[in-house]
Amino acid sequence: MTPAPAAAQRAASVRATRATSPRVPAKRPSLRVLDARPPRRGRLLRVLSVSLVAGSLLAVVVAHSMLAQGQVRLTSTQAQMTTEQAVHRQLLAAVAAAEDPAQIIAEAKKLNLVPPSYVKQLPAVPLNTPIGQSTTPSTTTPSPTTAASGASSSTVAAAQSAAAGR
Amino acid sequence: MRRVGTLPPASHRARGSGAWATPVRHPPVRQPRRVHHRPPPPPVRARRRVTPRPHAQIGGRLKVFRVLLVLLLMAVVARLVAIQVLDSSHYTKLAASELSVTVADPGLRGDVYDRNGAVLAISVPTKTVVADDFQITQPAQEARVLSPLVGVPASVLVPQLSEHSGYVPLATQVPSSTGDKLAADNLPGITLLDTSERIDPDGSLAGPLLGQVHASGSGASGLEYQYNKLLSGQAGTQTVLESPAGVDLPQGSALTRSAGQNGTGIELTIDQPLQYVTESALGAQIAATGAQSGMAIVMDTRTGDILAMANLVRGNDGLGLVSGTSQPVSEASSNLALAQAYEPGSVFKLVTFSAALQDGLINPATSFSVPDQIQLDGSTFHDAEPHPTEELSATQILAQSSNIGTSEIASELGESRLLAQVKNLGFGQTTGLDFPGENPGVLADAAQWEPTNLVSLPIGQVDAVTAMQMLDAYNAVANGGVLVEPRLVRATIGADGKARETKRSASFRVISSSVDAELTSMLEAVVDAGTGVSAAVPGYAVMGKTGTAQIPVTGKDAYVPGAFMASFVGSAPAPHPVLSTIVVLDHPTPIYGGTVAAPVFSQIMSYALHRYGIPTSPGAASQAPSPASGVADQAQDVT
Repeated sequence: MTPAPAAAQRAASVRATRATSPRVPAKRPSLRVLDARPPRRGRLLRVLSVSLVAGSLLAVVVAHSMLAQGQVRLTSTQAQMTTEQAVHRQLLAAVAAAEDPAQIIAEAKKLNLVPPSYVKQLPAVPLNTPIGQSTTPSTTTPSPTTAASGASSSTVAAAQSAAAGR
Repeated sequence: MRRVGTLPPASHRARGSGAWATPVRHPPVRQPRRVHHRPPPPPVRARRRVTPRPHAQIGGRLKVFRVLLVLLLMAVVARLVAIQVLDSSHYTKLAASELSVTVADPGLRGDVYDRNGAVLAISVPTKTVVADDFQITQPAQEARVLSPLVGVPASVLVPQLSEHSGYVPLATQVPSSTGDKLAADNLPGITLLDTSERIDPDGSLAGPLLGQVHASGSGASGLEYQYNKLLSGQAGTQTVLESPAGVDLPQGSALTRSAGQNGTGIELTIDQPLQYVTESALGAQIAATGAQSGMAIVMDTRTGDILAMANLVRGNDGLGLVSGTSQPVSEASSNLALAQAYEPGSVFKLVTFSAALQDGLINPATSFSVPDQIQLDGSTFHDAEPHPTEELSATQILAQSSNIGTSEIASELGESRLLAQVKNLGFGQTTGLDFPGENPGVLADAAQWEPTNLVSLPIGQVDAVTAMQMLDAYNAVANGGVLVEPRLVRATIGADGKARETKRSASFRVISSSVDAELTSMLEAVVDAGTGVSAAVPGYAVMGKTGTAQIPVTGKDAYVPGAFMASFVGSAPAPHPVLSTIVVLDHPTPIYGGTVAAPVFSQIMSYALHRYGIPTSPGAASQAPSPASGVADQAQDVT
């Protein structure tokens, strides 16, 4: 325990000091609570991060829209290709029908074409026979179509000429 | 001692809190001493005990809430894991099924070409228009739009669009271009299904050979049936994403795709123009002679390729009418040349003569004393025309188609040798074409051999053969004694459009070269001065044989009175032919093969030899046989 006289002495000393010395205003110390300039590195990082995320999202959206656009074009092209293939096959069938010998004969008849009345048969000559020394004369015979009986004589010739054109 | 009025350095303060951090002992900083006047202490009151209950209650509730929140979050996370990880495939399927639509991708049937690439059968994509009439609210208006496109009157469409059955096929085999227009109209309740149509651009040309196709697209007969596996396309499927409104979602094309594959095409050995000429000539003769039916085959001697195969019937009950005939003649419903077995008659004498020559029993000049008829086991056999007993050489017997002379040669040959030669020439077995319904023919059973068979078999009775078998046997003679199996499919056409040749026909020597040369000269005599003069082709040497066979009554040991099968089979140009042809007419009038079948042979061969640029034969007659030479002036054969 502190003895009471000591405390009294100290208080008296303080009072004496106050009474004798002039009053000097105390200088207030600078009390900085917050930093004047917050560190800029953290803000930059945040801005960059947000920008990156936003940019990425935008890029994804753009890429997706481009992909969708490409798919739409692909689908459209595939449909067009299918249609064109179908048209091609229909045209093939139409051409084949036009090449039908019966069709050719019908068209030939419309043009008043007639089969030849004869066929000139060239003689078969051996390859070692000198030119001009063939003893077998060429012969003229009725057309194989006209010689044959039946209604198909003209049709055979027409088909023959059609086949020759192949 | 307590320090008053001093602040610790900034580094000792907790950031942002403004509170004092734990004091750390630092060197003292001297500061101007301030004297604070401590406020007087508050009067001491009697301390009252304050219960901390409300604060404790809030804290407890917060704890409970926090625990509940954590539990709730854990449950959500657990469910999320269950959905996204454990059952992800299940839920992915469920999600896809809501939007995905599986579309059929049918593969087209392969095309059929002739040997020169002409299309004989082709499949074209078409659409089938189907209505879901539950979705149609204005049937009359839709019918007006549909009518011109599908070619069905609106008056017919309106009741169909109002049936309320859910599935009403409105039109089938609609062209794809029309289908596209319909799709563009986007009519409610109208759906287009992908189908295909089999088209024969040449109409019914070679119909029995090509065969038919079912509505389902599979082969029903003929080559379409035989090569169905090759020709059939492989159907595929495509799963795409569609919105509930039916709009294609772009990302859908990447789901699953099993593309349909078109079938493999086949290239036949058939030559389309020659097929047409063959059918025209045969059809004209059927109409002219009143025959019930007719068959004709043209074959490449060396390769066995079938260049033409005609099967016609009189009337319009067949597959399609043949143009240019005086009476209706149509394509047969089956390939008679391969499916119909008939008693061949005198053309079968080839078996007897080839065996006898091979065994050295005869040569072309061997002479026989030949009466016009013989009696055997109660039966009478005779030649086509009565004649006194005369000396005939083997060549003359064949040229005049003497039944009695042939039976004399056969009697020297004997039963077993005769039967062996029948099989040796390919009779009694299929030709190797494996054509659907091909008939192997009927051979005499050695176990039930009758004495009369030694006369009837050599002249083409008892046994039944197909036209293809008979042509193949004669073609062996034309081919130097080598029998070559016939071939109908020359190549397959893959998806890349390239042709891959099929296996070449097998060949076997059935007649020796020396015998073949003798047979060739004997068969030439048939056309030069025998029963087959009408088969002559101007400018070319022709070899062949006529046949006029009686037609047996089914199930009885008798023949149909007045009914005959007339045929001619031969090759040109002799002695090294390149083409062989057979012509068979069923029930013709007149009956003789030399009269009705031989001219058709001449007509077909004349066209074919010119078409393929075959050189003429030196010394061959350049004139066509006189049309006046008929039955009276011409030797005939009847068995």
